[in-house]
Amino acid sequence: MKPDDRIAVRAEGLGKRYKIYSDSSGRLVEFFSFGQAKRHTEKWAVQDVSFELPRGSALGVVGANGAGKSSLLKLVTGVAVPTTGRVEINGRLSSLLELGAGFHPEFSGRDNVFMNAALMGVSKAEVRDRFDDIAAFADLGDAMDQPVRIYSSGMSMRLGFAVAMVADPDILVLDEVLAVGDHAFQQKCIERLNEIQQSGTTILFVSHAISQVRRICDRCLWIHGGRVVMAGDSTSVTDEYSNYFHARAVGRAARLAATGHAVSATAAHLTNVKLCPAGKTEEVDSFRSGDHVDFHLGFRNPTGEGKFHLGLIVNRSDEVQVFTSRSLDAGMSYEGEGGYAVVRVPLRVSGGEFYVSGFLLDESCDHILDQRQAWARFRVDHDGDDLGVFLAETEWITSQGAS
Amino acid sequence: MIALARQCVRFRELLVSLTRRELNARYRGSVLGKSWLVLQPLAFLGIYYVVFSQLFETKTSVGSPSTFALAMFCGLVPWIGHAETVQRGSNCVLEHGGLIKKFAFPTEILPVYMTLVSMINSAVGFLMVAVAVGYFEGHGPRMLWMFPIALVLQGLFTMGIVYLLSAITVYVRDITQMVPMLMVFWFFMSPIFMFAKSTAPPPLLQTILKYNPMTYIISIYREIFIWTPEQLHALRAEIEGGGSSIALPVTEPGNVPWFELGVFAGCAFTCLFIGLAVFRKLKPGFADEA
Repeated sequence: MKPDDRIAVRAEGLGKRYKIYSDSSGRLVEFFSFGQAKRHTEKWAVQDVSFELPRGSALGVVGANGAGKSSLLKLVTGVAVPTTGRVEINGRLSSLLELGAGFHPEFSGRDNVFMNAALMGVSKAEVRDRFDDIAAFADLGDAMDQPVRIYSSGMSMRLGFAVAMVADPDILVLDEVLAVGDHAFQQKCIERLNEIQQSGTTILFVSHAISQVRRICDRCLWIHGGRVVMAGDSTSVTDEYSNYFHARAVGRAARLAATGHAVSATAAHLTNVKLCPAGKTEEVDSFRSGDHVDFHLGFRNPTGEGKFHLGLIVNRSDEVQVFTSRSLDAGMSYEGEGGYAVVRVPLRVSGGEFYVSGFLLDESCDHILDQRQAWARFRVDHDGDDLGVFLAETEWITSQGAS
Repeated sequence: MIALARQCVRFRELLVSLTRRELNARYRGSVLGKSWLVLQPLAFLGIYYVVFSQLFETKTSVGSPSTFALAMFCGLVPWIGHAETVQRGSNCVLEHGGLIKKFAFPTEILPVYMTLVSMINSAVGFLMVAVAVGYFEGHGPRMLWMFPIALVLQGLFTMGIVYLLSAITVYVRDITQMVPMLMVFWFFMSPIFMFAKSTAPPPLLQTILKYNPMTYIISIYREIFIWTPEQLHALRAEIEGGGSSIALPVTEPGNVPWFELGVFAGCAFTCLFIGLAVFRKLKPGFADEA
């Protein structure tokens, strides 16, 4: 045991460099030239990552594909050897780095539980003691005694997750494993994770699902290009991260609009979106609860032929759909070569981050001609302490006693 | 090597699980299941017996045609164990790449479990040999205490080669293509078909045989299971009379073949030492390359 027992995982200046050989003979040439010839290019998958995980904390790792999240987890779990820096692990670590890793398709779920546990260094006796608990959690029924080859990906995930739990780890490392499986089981897993965290297990969790990161983790690392872009409490990091994604999406849309959208050179398409306080024209991206906002949806129809409709969907950043609106339902339609549709919306929402997606529909509203997901993002600030999406403006009518 | 032993003890349950899984997986789905473990060597034994003692009527200077068939089979059992393990084992790190990339366990135990599987298969094969010798030749094995020692030494020898090849294969995948050819060559350079004057080999081959570790271990097995003291006497007389110099065994009847055991043990430990050293050196890259 290390002197500082309160720290479960400590990473100092972690880096991982991969050598990439364009062809396999390059390695031999290098080997026999004793360092004279260089036939590889180097790529840092992880660079200068440091963090400390106190016992019982949960750290989320977010980042785009190829950002180095999985490489980082490999270093932490000791599967790969770091090029620079070091990792200190205090306690038993169990990991679920990939669904069905280490499962042999020909053997039953039961056999594979024992096998997988053995790979994590858990003794047979321990597994036997906890087997009923595992089986109950995985809830696979008779499938537990059938070969894993017939399992669906959801079933593999149940089994894998159950095994990782069995190890009764001090530190649990999960890579993107809650992505499959039915909603109910995901909830169950998240609850279980919260539970074991309460009882002192440290969790390291990689996911693309920001809502899961927020529910499981108190702190979060955002990694890009192998480096830490931001570290902090999970809400603010994930907010920044989704803002960044949105900015990229908007950037792309703007670029497309500027260069004249490849597909829609002649077809009708959306151009840009602008959010303004009601009746004004300056663009704003932050409002107060109850404000009236004009959504300006730009479109262009080079041929000038036909009629069409516009629609919008507003979601909160955790993907909760807040409302939708279509010009069809308001009895409006658009024609001509282009212009703006303006939709005035009273923001009867309590605070949060929201984004709007836009749609261009044909006259019957049966076909989507063009769409922009997460077209614009905006923030709503709210003074009250009430929760939820809807700004209810409730009244409490009685003060004492019953009716 | 001590560290290796320690790892094996620590991860013994994984070792047992992997070995059992391998034995089970091999026959899984077949109608006869695990009976193949016994049926396969039995069938081989039958084929060799029929072909060499009945069809070819091969004659040796000692014993009957059936002695020839049995002696050959007795050489074939350890050879198959060795060759199969080297061939499959040279690929073992790549084959388990999925595990290596996902679990932090000592990769050193992969060659160990592969060798254990082959030792179990060989033990079954030798049991057949002993039974057949008892039935056809009317005598049991002698110096049976040597058998486990020989089997373990052979295991260490094979394991050393597997360590070496499996580690290099990760970086130079061509090894996988080369091993089967090399094993065929090695097969013909081993005294599996030749062990007495009747097939006295040319001088060059004799030299090769002399430096081939398999020559020593195979003759030890034959001393245990095949030869009677009279046959040993006859063989020795033949060698001293200018016959085949590789016509091992050369031990006096009743004497323990210390020389052969010693030579082979030396080879086995050297091999394991070198193989393990290379494996350890290359191991840090396995998770990146496999």
